[in-house]
Amino acid sequence: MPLFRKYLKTQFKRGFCILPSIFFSFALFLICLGIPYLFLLSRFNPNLSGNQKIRIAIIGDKSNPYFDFIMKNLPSLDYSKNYVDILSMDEKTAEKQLNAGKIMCYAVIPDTFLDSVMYGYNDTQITIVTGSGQKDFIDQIIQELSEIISIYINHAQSAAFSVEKIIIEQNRMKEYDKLMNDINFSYVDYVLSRSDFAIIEKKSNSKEISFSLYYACSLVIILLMHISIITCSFFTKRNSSSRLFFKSKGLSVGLQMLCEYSVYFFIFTICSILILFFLYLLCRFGIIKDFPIYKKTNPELGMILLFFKLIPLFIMISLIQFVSYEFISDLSNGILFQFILILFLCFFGGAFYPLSFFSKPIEIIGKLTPAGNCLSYLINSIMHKDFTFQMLLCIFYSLILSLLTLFKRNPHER
Amino acid sequence: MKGKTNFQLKITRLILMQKRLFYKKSFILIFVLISLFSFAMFISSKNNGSLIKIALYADFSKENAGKTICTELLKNNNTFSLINYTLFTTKQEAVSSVDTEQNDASWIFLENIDEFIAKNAQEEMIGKAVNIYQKNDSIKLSFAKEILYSKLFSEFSTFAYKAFLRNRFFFNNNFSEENADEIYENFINKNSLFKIKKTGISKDINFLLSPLRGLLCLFVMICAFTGTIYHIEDKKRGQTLFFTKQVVIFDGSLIMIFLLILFKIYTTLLFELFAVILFSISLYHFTDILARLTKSTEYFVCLIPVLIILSLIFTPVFLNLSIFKPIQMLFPSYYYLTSVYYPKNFIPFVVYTIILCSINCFQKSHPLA
Repeated sequence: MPLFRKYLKTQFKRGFCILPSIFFSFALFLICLGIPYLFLLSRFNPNLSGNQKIRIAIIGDKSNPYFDFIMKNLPSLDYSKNYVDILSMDEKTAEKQLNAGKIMCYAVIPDTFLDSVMYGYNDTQITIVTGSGQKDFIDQIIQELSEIISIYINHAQSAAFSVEKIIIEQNRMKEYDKLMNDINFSYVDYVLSRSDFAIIEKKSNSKEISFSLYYACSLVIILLMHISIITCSFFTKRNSSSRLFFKSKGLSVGLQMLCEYSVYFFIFTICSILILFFLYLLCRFGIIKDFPIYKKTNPELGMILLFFKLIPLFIMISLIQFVSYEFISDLSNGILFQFILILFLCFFGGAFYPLSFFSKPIEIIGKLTPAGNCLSYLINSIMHKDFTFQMLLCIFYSLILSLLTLFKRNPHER
Repeated sequence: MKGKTNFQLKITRLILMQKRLFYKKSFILIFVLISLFSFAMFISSKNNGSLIKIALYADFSKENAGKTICTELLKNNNTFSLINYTLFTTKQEAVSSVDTEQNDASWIFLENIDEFIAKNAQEEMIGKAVNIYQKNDSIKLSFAKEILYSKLFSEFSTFAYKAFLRNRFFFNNNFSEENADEIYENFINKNSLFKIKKTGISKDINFLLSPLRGLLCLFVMICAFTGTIYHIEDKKRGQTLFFTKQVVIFDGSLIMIFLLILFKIYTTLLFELFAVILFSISLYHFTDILARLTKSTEYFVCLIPVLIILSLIFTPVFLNLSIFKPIQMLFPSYYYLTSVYYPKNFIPFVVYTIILCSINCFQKSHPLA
């Protein structure tokens, strides 16, 4: 036992040496990420955002009275009033603003477009220009929305032109204005009351997680995974001769590892407290509004309870990191290896994209991967859902990883 | 090394350094792992992943609007679609798939949907043609509903038009409902009134595969960091090996180009090569400056996770958050990711690289810096 204590003491001394760099890293992180994150959420959270809206530019012939009418009335529609700022500018300015990130996209309405729609030629198109790069969600959403608008315009147009043709064919020109007004207004009514086509029933008792809370949880998992990079000097500066010395004195490899792991777990716990404190700050300043723990009377106590609930999760992640450094222990390659491991686990665990975005088989496998399990564990414990399965899986992974560590250690040391 | 020119000497040193790196199995393992990761992403993007999952039910035993809409929606299931539709044979199955979280919503088209639509057209919206059972309302579900409404509208429009004619005109032997249908169909324009364009080079990539370029670019960034650590460690040991860092960056860039070509997400070879050369140079100087600022390996290592997470969020790996332009402009990965698709951005990229190079040279030459 004195040997065990002595070895533990040496490891703790090593551990304390890296604490300043950990605090440095977290301070940097809080400054670099906290402020923009706050800004980002306040921009997209309607409760906080105030006047922040999506900015879209429209380029067209300002002298055309119809274009002028559209520009005056479009901003007053419900959707645009709350979410969109519609601006009129020339194409060069729009391109500049798009590249500077000041607008999301711009629509170029050709001079002949309105006439083409009015007279039913439909031979010109509105060009929507989005930012450079690969096609992303935004482009696909814009594409879908433009198809929706096309459907409404095409059908309303067909009905109006058909009626017009019939009026002329049946020689009812006296009623032309009235009939045309009636058909046009009835189609405007149909478009505006389109939601009347369906009856909506919402799933009862659904405890669903909001977008911001999901990504806050993902961020917590990504940060927990990154602790291994911050603490890499703890692993890379391990001395195999001291291990052999203690081994020769009678301290088994298993006990040595227990000492090393205890110290690493201690460091990991400090880091996780700092991360949870970051989550607490996000709730404290109202950036995450729907955090169930924070809605209770004593949120500080809730956070402490959450920390205790998450201990199996901390053990598992710290063990993954502990084992991975057993495989690659030199500083440079160790960091590279940790990075790829984090990418792998986080991508297929749903930390970057929710698992529901993947196909069914990947979704199922993803939920069972360590990061996917951790994310479900964290979400369930925050949402007060049952997390027994996730906890048992964490314990199972921890056992497997402990055995793996024991067998991986250099055979001659064993 | 006698008799060798300066250039030959450099090449020999480069090969020696490469040999030294490849001697480490872990170094090769890392390259195998990043290739495997890219391959796994590629495979996952080939399956029908989607942003929204919708369960459909309609009576397929006879021709009706529900069947037409469902058939049309199911045609859109491909690797690029945001919504994935699944057809169920019973209403109960479709509804319970939402309860079991298999789908986000279920759209149940009524068996007598045509009657409902016709009545609605005649008597101004008296009944509902579709039952939607869904989770709590969200932006993505509202977006999906808009697609449904537009499809319903295209079916409803014909009924509404005919109802209008029935009320205001008279169908007779000279003018039948079939004539009215024909006129209507002649005016229908199936083409979209919109055209989507990108400011630079556009590439159709599944949304699950689209972050691959960004993640590989972060991998090269990490390579530059580890190359710097190699360099610092070598210096500490008193080894004056050249090209330590350059070789690690070169290997990382090479594997990135190879994977981009392999998974067909490259633009043009010329742009790719030019961008990757600029990216490597900027990374070399960027990491040099940081290493000199932090002074110790421990603090330098602490910067790595912070910079990775910041790059992941602020540079266009997943989303282009251009509202953070001033923050984005600090990272080399931002210039790389934007210039590949928008050649005009090569100008700021070159300027950024020159600035980094100048700062680095100033730091090196200035004893107080």
